[in-house]
Amino acid sequence: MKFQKIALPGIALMLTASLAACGGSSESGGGVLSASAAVDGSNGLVIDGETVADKDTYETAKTQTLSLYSSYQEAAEQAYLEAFTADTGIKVELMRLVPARLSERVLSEQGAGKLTADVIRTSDYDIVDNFSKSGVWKPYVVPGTEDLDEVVIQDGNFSRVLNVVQTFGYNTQLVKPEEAPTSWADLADEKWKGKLGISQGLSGGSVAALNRFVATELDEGYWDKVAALEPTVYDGAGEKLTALARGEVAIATTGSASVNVAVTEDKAPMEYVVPEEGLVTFDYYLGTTAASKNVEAAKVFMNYNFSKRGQSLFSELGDYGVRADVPTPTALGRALPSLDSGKVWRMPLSDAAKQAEDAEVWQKAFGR
Amino acid sequence: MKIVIENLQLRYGKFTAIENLNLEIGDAESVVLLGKSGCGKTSTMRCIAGLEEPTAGRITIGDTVVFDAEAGINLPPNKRNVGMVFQSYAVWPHMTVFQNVAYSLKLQKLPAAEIRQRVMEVLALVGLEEFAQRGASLLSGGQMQRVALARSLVMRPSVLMLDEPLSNLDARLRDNLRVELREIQLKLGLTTVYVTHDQQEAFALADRIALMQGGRIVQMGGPTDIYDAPVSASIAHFLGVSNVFDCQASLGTDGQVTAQVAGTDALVRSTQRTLAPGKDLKLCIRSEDFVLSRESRGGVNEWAGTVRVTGFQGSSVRYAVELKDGSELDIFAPTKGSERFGIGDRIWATVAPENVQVLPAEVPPGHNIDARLQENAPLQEVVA
Amino acid sequence: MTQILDRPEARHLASTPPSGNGARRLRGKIRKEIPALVILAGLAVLVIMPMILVLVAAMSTDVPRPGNAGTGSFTWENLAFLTTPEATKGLWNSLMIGFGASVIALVVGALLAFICSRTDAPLRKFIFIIGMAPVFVPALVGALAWSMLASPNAGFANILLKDLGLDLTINIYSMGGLIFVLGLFYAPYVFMLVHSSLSMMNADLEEAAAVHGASLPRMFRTVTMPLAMPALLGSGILVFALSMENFPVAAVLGNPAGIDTLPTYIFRLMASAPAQANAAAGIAILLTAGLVIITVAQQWIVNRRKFTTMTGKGARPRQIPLRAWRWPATLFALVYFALSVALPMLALLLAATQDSPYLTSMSQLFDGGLTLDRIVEVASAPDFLTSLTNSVIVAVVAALAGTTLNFASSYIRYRTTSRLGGLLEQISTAPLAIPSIVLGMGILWTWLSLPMPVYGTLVILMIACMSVALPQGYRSISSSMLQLHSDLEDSAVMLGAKRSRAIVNVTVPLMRVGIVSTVLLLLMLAMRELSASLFLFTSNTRILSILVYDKFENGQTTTAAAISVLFVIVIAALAITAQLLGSRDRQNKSLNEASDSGKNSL
Repeated sequence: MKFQKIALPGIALMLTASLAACGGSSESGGGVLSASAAVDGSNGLVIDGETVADKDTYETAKTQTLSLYSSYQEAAEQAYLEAFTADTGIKVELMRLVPARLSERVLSEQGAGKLTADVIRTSDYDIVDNFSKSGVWKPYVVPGTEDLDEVVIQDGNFSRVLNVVQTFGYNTQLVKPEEAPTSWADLADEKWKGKLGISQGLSGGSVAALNRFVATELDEGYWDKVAALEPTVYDGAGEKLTALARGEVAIATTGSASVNVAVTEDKAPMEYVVPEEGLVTFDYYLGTTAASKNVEAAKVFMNYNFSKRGQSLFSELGDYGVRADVPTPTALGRALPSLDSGKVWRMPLSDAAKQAEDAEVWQKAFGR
Repeated sequence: MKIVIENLQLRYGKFTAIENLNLEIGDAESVVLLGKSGCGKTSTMRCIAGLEEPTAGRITIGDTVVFDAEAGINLPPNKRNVGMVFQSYAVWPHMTVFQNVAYSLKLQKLPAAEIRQRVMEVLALVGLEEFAQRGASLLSGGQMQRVALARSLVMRPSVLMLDEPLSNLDARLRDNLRVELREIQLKLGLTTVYVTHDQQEAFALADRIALMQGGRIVQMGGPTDIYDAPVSASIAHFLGVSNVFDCQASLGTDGQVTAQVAGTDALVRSTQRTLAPGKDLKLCIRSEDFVLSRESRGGVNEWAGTVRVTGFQGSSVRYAVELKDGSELDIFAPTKGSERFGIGDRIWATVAPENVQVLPAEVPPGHNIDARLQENAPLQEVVA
Repeated sequence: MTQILDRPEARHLASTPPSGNGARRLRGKIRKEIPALVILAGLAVLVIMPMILVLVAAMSTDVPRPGNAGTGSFTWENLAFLTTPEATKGLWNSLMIGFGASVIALVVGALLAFICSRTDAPLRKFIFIIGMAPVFVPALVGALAWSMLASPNAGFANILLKDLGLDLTINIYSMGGLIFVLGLFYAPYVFMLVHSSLSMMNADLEEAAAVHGASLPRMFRTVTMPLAMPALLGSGILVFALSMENFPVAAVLGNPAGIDTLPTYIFRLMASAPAQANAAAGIAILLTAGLVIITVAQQWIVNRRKFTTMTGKGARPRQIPLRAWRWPATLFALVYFALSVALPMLALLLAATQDSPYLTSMSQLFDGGLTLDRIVEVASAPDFLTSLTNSVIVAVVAALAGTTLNFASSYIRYRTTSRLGGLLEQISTAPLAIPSIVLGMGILWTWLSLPMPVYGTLVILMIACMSVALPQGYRSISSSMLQLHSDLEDSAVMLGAKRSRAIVNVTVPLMRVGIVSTVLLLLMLAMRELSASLFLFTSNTRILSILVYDKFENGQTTTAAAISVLFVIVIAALAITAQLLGSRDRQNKSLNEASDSGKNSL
């Protein structure tokens, strides 16, 4: 009797442990980043002919595991990191959080002296600015980026590494391509009542840029019109994307890269639209931390991100890099408009201060 | 060892459990604290044991002052060497009989051989030698009580205290154990304090009885004294006197008390020569003091009545007799040697004047006996 | 026997200090209270300080942050948030949900309890397990499972209905859905309380009614139900409070429907950029006030009528023959089991093993669309392993420390004359009236203000688990302690043992089963903990429940499902151990009764 009593829960725990032990190395689907690079790691790290790291740095980095805090969309970030690890052999542990939570987490951990991140990737200028004020960053300028336009910021505290697209997408099971909206203005049409999904107006990042875009480029009262359609308001972009893929909303604001990855890897029934008024893009920043314990791996990661290889990966995902010598982004086999086509709107750094009043407009429209 | 309790007081907030108690228990004497629940008897016992801390007073056991409120002395219970048998016995179910009894000796870190010898000795005393290795939870009530007793005795306590030792046992067992307890107590010459609400138990076990009411000792004396002369009607009633009637009384010219039962013309004569002051007097007659007969004998204290209920109780018969004026008498008559009456029978009930008591309803408020000994009280024989 | 009755009264009040020699007596009195004061200090840090800090935060402009323990300056501004449409709507929704869920839980729980304890329905032993089973499923997991099952477009149930050609859609993202899921998952609380009340009822009371001419239905109506009223009302109000303060279910099922409750509003305020922690504190006070009122009402109702029908002796209560309703009753129980455990678990399993996260038809599953890969991948991922280890460590330490603390509080309350006993009990049961999410906020700010480096370690999570589970642990230990007669320990003292020695030799061994089951109860509660830990973890101190929530927040529902499946397995293993050890309790209980006084004959 006693034996049986121990056996039953024991078996359950053993089952769990053995599942953990038998460690699978399977992947979740066909890779979205399929292009491979020529990597030479014999004397430092050289990828596609470009030196990414010198010998000493690279040898040390190879022994380390990098810790990255990122608010970049999870599936995209994971695809990126897979490619990074495949190219460099350096493992990465990812902590993915929405920008607001990331900011709170980093500031809390920094204040308690417990920050475990080596590198941080996030949007929102005021977030990274706050980080500077709290001494989170250790300045590092990736060689060759000093001459790029608006890339190295605050003397190298952090750098602008990519521009993420915010547009809208639709669920192909619920919306036929010919019915799909083709412009931001279209989105406010009566026929989408109850079928729209958007993000919380105060959650930062993509929403801040969208708010600014609405304020400068679209007609007045846009948000009021959208609010009248009673959209579902999600607290996070990840939730929203899953809801769109599962058909709980028919149309949602989302990113080209997000849709690209979800469709390619998981066969999600989605499509994205390049609106007539243009794509909204917002900055994503990358920086190394003062608390970093894996300094060499962090350096390699930074350099990689700004290398031709690293930047072209962003294009492959469906977002805009900051280097001029990489191809225009493609998503779902289609090329996105080039930066100078007039169809790509980027939120100016200087407008960061206007975030608060834009948010108020949103709040008034949605009554929350 | 002697126990001296002086000016003991125990209060909880507004409630007073013990009110200025003064009691002395002689060496090898057996004293019973008798009273209704809430009278303070268990609290007194627990104060002696050290399980309660009095608010005032002094307690001395032998030559040691174990408690003194003024001097700030309060010896913890585990240092007082007082044996205590709880009403629930509190025999530990997770140990054997031997382990239960050996507990205190193990605490004293005595050598194993000595422990074994003393434990078996005391188990023999209580008649449980064969049960030494039995798990304590497998015993009957009587056996558990003996284990609890043995457990305390093996410690060679200065004083042994027992809380309602017999109340949880069946009648037959109770009778037997009553005798056994008394025998052991006398044999060991142990100063013993019992607490009980059962007057029969008290009479059987005590050298002296302290009757308690409301946190005070209201009467103190040997069993016969208490039985023969309770000082109030409520005490009499507690001790089993069931014929208690409101009355008015006066001392006659012959110096003896005559009482008139309230609401009737009945006059009752008594040989009592003292009368407590005050208006609230009660007439008290024991059930067994009445004599029943078919014919009137003439004489004092005789009344006519009808038998209403009869109850056969083995050695005695109990009658409820209704008198002409409506009052009801409770009467015991021995089965052998007296006539048996049936329901409806017309009879005469008589009681001798010396068996009539006129008592105040209650002791006066604040009445408190100082029961410290002036000299050693004589020991009583075993009452079977 | 009555003699024993006046003693317990005495235990609750300490002796009045006499006049004269005051200073010495006072010092002695204080020295006696040292253990109680130590415990009081511990409880103060666990419960009182957090609440004070929440109160302070509600009236300040800033909150303690790592590296900066200040709270800014005093302000009334935060109260303005109480009048926002979100707050009022949130309050209204919370109340509706509380009310609705408690009605469902009462009906379901009471019916099950009745069927299980008083009728002749078949499979009653299994019905008992059914009544308790949902306790194994944390609220977050249950909500996730139901969203997988019944989200309007992609839920398994809806896909199945579409496959079957039925034009019916179940939308779990609705007020009705929220109430349904909460009612379902909190029904076990009602079940447990009502079941124990019905089955321990003194048969004499009902038989007296029957003997005097009452038919079964009438007896039931006039005697049984009124006697069960305290259990019904007590548990109903408990469910009301739990539903009102619930966070995970409201977040998962309410958010897509635009339904906001006070807990989700609080969370959103804390999670916005910049965090509006002070406003969140203001709303937190509102929620706590509501909960306090409800809990006090519950205590008052439960304590008003003291029917001690549990004598533990005498005949067992009568069984009511259901005749034609026998199998329908069991069917009802089986349907409940399906809805509360079987279907949700199946949905999680499907979501965890489906090859493609996007299903259009159930037939896809049979097309080789199931794989264990995801579960294996999740189980070997470093974040899962870390979280699992963290969960287990936190749970074990919290359970052991919590049990010890509760033992001390309960002992002081019921076994000594300390004046602080009542206070210790009040504080120990206070967290019942404090929403877990609010307690979590308070604990965060407490440990950021105190100069000890506790934030960012597992210790702060242990503290949170201990605080939240304080009432349950205290009640569990106390019921065990009260069953034990104080004479057993006192006799050891009379035989020469120091009080501490007596506790170790006598009380602890005799309470062994009660202590162990308390440890296991706290272990289970700590494993399920989410709401209080939401603000307390850092990157490498995540626990399993937080990991599931993170994945859900990131939109990775299938990963969340996979982790949930493993999570439930671990909890079930712990719970089964608790059950098995608990059944030994019944054997020991009869031994205890035999050893206590009772009518024993030769």
